Amino acid sequence: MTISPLNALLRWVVWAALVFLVVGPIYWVVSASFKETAEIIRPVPTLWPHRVVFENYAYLFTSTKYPRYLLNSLIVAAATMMVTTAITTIAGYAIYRLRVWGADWMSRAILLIYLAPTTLLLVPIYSLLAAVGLVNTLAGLVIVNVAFASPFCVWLLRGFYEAIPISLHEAAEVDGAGPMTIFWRIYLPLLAPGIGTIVLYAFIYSWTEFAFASQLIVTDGLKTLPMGLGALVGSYYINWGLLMAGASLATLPAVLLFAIVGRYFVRGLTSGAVIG
Amino acid sequence: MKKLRLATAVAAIVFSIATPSFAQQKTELVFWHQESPPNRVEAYQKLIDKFNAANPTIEVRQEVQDWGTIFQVAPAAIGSGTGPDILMAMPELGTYLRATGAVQPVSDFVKELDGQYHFLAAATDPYHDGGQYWGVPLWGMVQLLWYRKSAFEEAKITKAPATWEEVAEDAAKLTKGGRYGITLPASKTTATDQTFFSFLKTYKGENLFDADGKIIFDNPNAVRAVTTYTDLLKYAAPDSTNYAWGEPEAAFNSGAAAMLIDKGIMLSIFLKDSGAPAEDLGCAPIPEPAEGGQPGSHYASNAAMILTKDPAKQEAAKTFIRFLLQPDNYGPLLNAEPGLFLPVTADGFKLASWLADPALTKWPECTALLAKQSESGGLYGFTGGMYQINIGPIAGQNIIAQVIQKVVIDHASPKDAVAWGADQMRAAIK
Repeated sequence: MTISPLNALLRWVVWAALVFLVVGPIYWVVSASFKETAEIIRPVPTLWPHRVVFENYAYLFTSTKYPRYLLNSLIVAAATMMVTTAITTIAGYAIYRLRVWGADWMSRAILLIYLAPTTLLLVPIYSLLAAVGLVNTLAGLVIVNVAFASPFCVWLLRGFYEAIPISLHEAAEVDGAGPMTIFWRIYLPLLAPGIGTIVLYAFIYSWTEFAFASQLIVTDGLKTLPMGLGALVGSYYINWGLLMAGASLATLPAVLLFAIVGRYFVRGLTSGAVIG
Repeated sequence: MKKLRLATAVAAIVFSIATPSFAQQKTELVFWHQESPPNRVEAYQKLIDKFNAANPTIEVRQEVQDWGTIFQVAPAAIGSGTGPDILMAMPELGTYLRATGAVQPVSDFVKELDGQYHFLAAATDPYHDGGQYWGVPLWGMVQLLWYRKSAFEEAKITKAPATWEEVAEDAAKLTKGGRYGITLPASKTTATDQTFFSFLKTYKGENLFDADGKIIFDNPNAVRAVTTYTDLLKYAAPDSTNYAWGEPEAAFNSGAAAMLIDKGIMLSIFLKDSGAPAEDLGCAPIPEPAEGGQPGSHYASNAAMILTKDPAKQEAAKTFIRFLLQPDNYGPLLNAEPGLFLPVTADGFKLASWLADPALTKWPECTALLAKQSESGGLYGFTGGMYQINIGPIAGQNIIAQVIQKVVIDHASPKDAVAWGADQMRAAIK
């Protein structure tokens, strides 16, 4: 099929507009992080730094607890990612393949948690965690993140489970393999794209979570990045350069992870959407 | 008898071993504040380190919180036993915290310090209720009118405006060539609440409540204040409805706006953020209406509230607060953000350790003006000697700011917006 020049031009225009919309703000934030405040707040913005400065990054690492917040975020996101992946792959197996009792009902009800606005759940969850001594702990934050990331991940895995031919499962059963052996030997390797998707989803969910973190964590040394970035804004004044440096670095781990498993994420979302 | 002797001997040995460790045991104090910019955290840490070194039996640890979430976080943390021993609060937050039952009265302590340093009434009054003081004020914040002298010269304006009518006149002259005459916040935030309150105060509309606690916001003075504020927004950037803290300062420092109503923080940030010389920054008292007005500004004192019920910790907390108010330490505490944090004691305004900061020595007339403006300052809910515990929900929902938005976004008349705001306030305190 040949594309007319007008069509090709139109495609390029749309593509360029999309790139500008997506990359533009990121470029602005990153380039601003290398500018002096006077240049950042200039009424007519500059496209690139007139004088490249690294003082915003230096200040970020020497005068704030940003490295600590970064480490806390990495710990919470990695733990959330691992626990969510472990729970949801097994839950998906039980619901979509083993068809345990109540599987149909569960597969429909699993997304109900998202019907309640997060703010409504803040108080009961806070009380629950306070009762078991998990307020102001990273473990408490991981539990909450897993609870909120898991339902979507289980639902997402449905398409991947159903794409694996049932005959493979049956053949393994004929060969005498038990449910867990089948899970480890058959499903897990074939689920790699799905697992890549939930790994990314759980990580980014945890990486950007603010509402619960801001309520559950009160100790400075336990704060995560979204809270730390909030602290950089401050009262009565914003140090724009510092904020831009913090925001630029905060996106880095998520961008790296997306670069590694991003293609699975797109495929995973599409797969879940069609079959689900 | 033998057994008794043996037990006594064992007890004596245990006691003799344990005594030195008791003597070394430290009283740990957790100190919460919401001043998160790194320079402020660093300044507090220096003072805390100095205190801890001088007081080996007490260990103070600062935990930085966020003004945006403190109204929810503090009561929840107190309820779950993870709250602080000392918390820096503004009066509105103080009313919230008192509802938890954790705030300890400090009347005798305030009287002791008052005898020594002489607190300003405007600083202590918002923490006085039911015959008790509930917090020890440590610093105050007040607003001034700031202006760019170069823009004034260019527009051939020879003096700073003294009335709101002159502000409007000057703003009209200054608005040209991509520059706005003034920058004002109009978002649903504390920034708008506080900036607009300076207008309300000068129009004598500062009392939101009467003596019986009934809302009296819907009055002609409040309507005049809203009219002036929203009229001035015509000479401000069209996206002012998104301006909170940060944006008005950026607009002013970048030269995009020629006038600003703001706190003394301008003395800290102007040189670095504007790139302009010190001579370009002018300051003036908050203007008043040409007729029927009064001097005034938004003024808020921040106080240390003692939340621990442990007598040993209470005593340690008092030792720490006494230390902060000592002349050698009080200056550095205030200069955690020079100009923004002002003394709350009569003696504090004369303190060499405060006045010596380069940000203050560059603009001595503005420093003096900040001190002078503090005398006519006030805070919503705490005006005229009142202590309205119901101000919390009104401040928490930014109803004052919403009144401004009602005019700017919904195009309601100032009179209707004020009536609507009064209804919202009544609903909020029900």
